[in-house]
Amino acid sequence: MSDRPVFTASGPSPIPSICVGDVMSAPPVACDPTADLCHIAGRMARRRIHSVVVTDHDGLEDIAHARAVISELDLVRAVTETGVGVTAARIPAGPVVTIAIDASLIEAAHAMIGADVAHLVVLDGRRPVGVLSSLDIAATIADTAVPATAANAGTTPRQQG
Amino acid sequence: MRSPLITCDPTTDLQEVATMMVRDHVHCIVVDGSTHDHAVDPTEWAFVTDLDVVRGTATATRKHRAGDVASGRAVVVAATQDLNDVAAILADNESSHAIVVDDGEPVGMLSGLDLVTILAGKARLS
Repeated sequence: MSDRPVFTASGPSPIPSICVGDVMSAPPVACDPTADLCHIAGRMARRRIHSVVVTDHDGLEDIAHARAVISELDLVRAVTETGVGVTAARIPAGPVVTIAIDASLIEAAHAMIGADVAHLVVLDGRRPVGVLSSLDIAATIADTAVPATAANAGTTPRQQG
Repeated sequence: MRSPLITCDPTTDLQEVATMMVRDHVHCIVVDGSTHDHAVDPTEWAFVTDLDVVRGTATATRKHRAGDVASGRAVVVAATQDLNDVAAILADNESSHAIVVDDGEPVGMLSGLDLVTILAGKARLS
């Protein structure tokens, strides 16, 4: 049995009853600790994403290799404190907050709220397979005027970027 | 900088705010609380982010509107302001976005990513 917390809406929720895996972006965009701020900012801008997972030198095959999640605000802070030459390992970044690929969006929303983060790393077992952003959830809220059943379920995850 | 500024009224439903964010692919919208019968007043602006929308809808016991969940006063910078200063202002305010004003008129929104990309590009060229 899953030890994930279960959240029950007290009424009809604008967040549809679909799984994280249906709306996440995949695969996760990662960088190693030696990547500099210019490189990270360039990747974010080109891919139109707002977070990058920092890994150790062994890639991102297992969540144990994820060190932090760098957001655009982390980059802004780093520019002001250290300058643009700083590397990922030295950028103060947020924690790696994860969610299972089969978790519901309402669980994901509560995970974001609880950790005060806008991005979750999505796991299939121990393997990071995508990223779920608060904008991904907002998109489903925008779409709730459209029945969120067969049309949405099982859709192929978007490529991140 | 993204121009023009994307704004909504404080009474805008969060589902409509989410629709605007997705349509324009933005993470932040300006909630304009001014009454529109006087000059532009930046103190009446606030930001509503995509995380605010998620927070407002996931925890709602009633239907929230943009003005209910907007997270604090908007950060405003001048169009002529030095970008390093703008970065410091964003960091101090823990904000990823700033409204850019020129002669008191809002002309667009600058994101932290826009800013860092420009500063990083300048550093590469120098």
